[in-house]
Amino acid sequence: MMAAEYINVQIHDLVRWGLGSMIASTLVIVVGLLVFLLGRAVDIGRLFGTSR
Amino acid sequence: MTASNDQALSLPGLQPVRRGTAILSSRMQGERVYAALLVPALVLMLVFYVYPVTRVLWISVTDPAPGLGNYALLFTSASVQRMILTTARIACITTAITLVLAYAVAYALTFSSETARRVMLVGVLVPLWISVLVRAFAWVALLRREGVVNNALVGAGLIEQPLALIWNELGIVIGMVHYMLPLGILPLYSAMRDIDLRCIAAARGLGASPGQVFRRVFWPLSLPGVIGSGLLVFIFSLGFFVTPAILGGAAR
Repeated sequence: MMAAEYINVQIHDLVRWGLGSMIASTLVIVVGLLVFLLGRAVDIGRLFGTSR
Repeated sequence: MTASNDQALSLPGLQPVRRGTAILSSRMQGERVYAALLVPALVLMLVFYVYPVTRVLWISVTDPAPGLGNYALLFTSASVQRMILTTARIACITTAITLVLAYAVAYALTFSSETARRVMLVGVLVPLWISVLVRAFAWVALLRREGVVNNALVGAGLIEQPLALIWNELGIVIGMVHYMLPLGILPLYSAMRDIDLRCIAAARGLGASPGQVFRRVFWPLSLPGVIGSGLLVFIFSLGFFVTPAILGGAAR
């Protein structure tokens, strides 16, 4: 089971909001770190054609 | 205009100063207008993005009891660790396969003729416009036990029993790679398009073989695109829901 499905099960089926929110928050933090790394590695705007 | 102002304007040297002040004031007014235009977007961001994310963070440290108990489960709960490993494994496999396929397509796009490029770009973009739900169910129709692929393989005598192509990790990876391909191809193509093709011509002129040109000139220059595309696909893969829910084992 992947993270998004796990969050869905925790919140909808088991009503464990704390655990579901913790996984969601961890995912947000990991994605934030990866976006930061992406910004360091390449010009994100240039990659998607928004800057030259 | 007052008499003193008229006098000041008539004095040599003072007129440019006043004109400069007027330009500065008009610029500041313009900046204020731009700032005002940003307010609705800022409010939307605060209400629909910052507040929900902050609320989720708050719940994660207060429910069921205040503290970092939920975060401790990252290190103590076997089911949470198994889920993290599964997510990381599927995201890594999807990213690797997507990058290989996307690199080949982006390379072909870069060096194809204008007409071929247009046709290929339509082929890349059309799946992007189709709902992820429709695409996932299309894969179910193709890959299930009585689906097109298994029927063709059994009919051709290549296999005796239908293969388990969906409702497992293989199905998830197939569906996710299909979804991620346009997201991988477009940044890579954008990066490859920016490569100065005269570098390749120069390398060829200096006696490098096509393989050497690719390995020592094209690949290093396209590397930022590979990193960007890879991270983008990985980020999308981490939080993917629809495809794993439909093509994965959890649905059964």
